[in-house]
Amino acid sequence: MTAIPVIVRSGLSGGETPIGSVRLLPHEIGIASAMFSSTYILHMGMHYERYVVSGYLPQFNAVQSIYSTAIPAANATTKTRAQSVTGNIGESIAALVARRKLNARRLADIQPLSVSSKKKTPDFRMKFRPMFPWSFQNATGINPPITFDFWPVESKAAQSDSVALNSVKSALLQLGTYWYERSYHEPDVVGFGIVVSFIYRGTKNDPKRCIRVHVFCPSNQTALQNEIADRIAASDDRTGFLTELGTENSAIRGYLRDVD
Amino acid sequence: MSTDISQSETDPSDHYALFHLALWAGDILTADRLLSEILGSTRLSSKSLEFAEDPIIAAAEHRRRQLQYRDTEYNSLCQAAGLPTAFSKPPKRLESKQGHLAGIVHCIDERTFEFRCYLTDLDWESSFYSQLASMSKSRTAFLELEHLEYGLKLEAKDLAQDTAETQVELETGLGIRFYQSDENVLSNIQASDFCTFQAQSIWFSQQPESADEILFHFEALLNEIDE
Repeated sequence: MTAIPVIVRSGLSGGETPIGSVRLLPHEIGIASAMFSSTYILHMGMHYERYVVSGYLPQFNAVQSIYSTAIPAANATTKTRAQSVTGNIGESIAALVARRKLNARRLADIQPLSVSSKKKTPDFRMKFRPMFPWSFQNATGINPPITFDFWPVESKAAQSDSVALNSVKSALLQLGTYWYERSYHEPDVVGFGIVVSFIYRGTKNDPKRCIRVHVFCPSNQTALQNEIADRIAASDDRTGFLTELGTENSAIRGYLRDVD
Repeated sequence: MSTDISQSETDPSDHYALFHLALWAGDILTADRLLSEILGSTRLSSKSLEFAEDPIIAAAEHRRRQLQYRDTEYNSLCQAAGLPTAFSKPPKRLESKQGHLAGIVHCIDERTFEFRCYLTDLDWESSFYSQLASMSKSRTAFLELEHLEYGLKLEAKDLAQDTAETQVELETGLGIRFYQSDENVLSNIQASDFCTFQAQSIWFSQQPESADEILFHFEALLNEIDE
């Protein structure tokens, strides 16, 4: 009931590979959120239970007389979900998926990264073992040699598929910020990044939860590196770079796999 | 800008991970020390915070500023209220005898206390989870740990095809959660995927008579895990 399928997808629109499911218990979300999320919310586990688990549990006879997550908590409120709470859930999901599904086997493989409250940088750097696992190869159809040490990783939560896709598009810009800033020190990471997106409810017609691991890879890394180098040399035009990265069918997006 | 820490004996990645564990537990003195060790004499400008040469140094510096901001905010309020600003007595840090674990006790109410414990030696990660799984007496917990392989050395296995290939249909979870009780205290113990556990204990029969009684209870638990 609490197991959520995990699917690896190439970029925004490429191939998909299912990699099983993760069972997320409220207290596990609570601790992950306390460690990695940005908003100070206590009892996140209970929020998770009411926001996400609720509606997906059977009404066991044993607890029918008790007000619980199974019933009637799912429908006995007029209040909306708080964005900072769903944001916290989103920020904690990537770390759990990395540990359980992508073999981030040492704790130090997960490095929370936010470096500024103003700049939109990715939530984490992460090391997977191996760095380009079978599921990535299967979804992307490639097996590139990975020479960088850590993937930049952004973590998101959204109510439905369509909202999730928009948040992954904005997360791509956060990866772009990382590539731009790191291109001089770590050119090999340019074009590579992960966005973990947790769809926690789905729509009325398709009420399915899932976690998608979007794997971004360059289709022409040299061109992307040169594009960044030219913009840095000219006028340090990061804004222009990110604007173009966010524009569908732009030249810069053409240097990435499965984005348009 | 100096990033000498990456060449020193300490591994900044491990220190950075431990810093987050200590902060989560409320072990503020240790968190502060770890942050100082990561940063050394480094002080980054706001501009170079945006990643600099080493993102971990930049992230650590950002966290130092966040904590400093909170500290200043707290001190200003204390001053306005005519209260002492510094910690007169920080919370007691409990350490296991073997030295792999540490934790801080948090008061929830007069009969309920929460112990937040974390691994201080990341090389002991695998044993940490095995011990907790053993105490939980749950066969499922052991089976799930086998799949997760937390803290296991990788090397040759890592170079071969990864285990994800065998996990296509696998439901993964940690599921280490159990209860312990004696004549006066009931404890609910829950492990996380991030080298921590928390124990919430209720003194259901009689209120604890002293802070020492509470600390002794949790210290015993700590040593049971790290025996």
